[in-house]
Amino acid sequence: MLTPKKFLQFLIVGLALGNLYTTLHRSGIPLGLDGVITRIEIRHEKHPGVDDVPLIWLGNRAVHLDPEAARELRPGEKIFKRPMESSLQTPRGPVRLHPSRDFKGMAVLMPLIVLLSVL
Amino acid sequence: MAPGGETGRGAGRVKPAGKREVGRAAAIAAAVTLGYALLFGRRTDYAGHYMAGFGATLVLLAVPFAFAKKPLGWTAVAAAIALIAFGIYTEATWFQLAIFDPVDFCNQSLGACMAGLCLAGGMGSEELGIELGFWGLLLITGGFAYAYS
Repeated sequence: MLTPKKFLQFLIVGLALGNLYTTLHRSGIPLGLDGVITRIEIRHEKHPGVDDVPLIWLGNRAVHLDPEAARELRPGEKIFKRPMESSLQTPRGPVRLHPSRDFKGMAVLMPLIVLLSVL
Repeated sequence: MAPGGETGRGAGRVKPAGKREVGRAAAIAAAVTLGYALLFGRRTDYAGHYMAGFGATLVLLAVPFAFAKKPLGWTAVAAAIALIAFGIYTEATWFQLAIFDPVDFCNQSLGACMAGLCLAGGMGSEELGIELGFWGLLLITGGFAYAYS
């Protein structure tokens, strides 16, 4: 039987997975990328230089990448990678993609939050 | 005796009902905030969103917690879901600086769900309801201040 506590625990698991998925997605590793970078846009959040949002535009498609990955790319370059590969092909050679510090932090904290919710 | 009755066995261990839930909420709010602060360093917005979501849910549940005649159940779930919906709205409007950030949304919603979970199954007294509202407001204010620090 679904109790209020169980319902909230399911939500917590879903939200924890959401954090893990989003931070891993921003490393670029799960993504398939194929196209010419038409623009690299840096949008600012609360703390410019700390929580900036780099958007890589491949035509009409905007890809939000970690700043570390975005720094390796240049407008006008043709890039290619298959989903789940950690190497991104550019005209200047391959760029290695890494899970960010944010993802590693989430990989520690999210299981702990889920554990706390069931104790 | 508090309106919610008393729990515990033996005269020396009697506690007002709801005290355990309030203590659990305080401990979990503090422990998880510390976890965010230690693991994410300069990304203070992560902890800030968690604190704000947790605090807002405590404020929303303070009145039902104070006056409930039976333990909170689906009321706690409804409060958490209301806060999640409000979080979607605020993240998409007032606080959307660069993009709608799913990480901010998840952290805020995790705070709301953890607060609801702490209080589900408990009921308190007027005094505990006021205490809960106070801690909730403190967490909201602290969350904002920390996120923008």
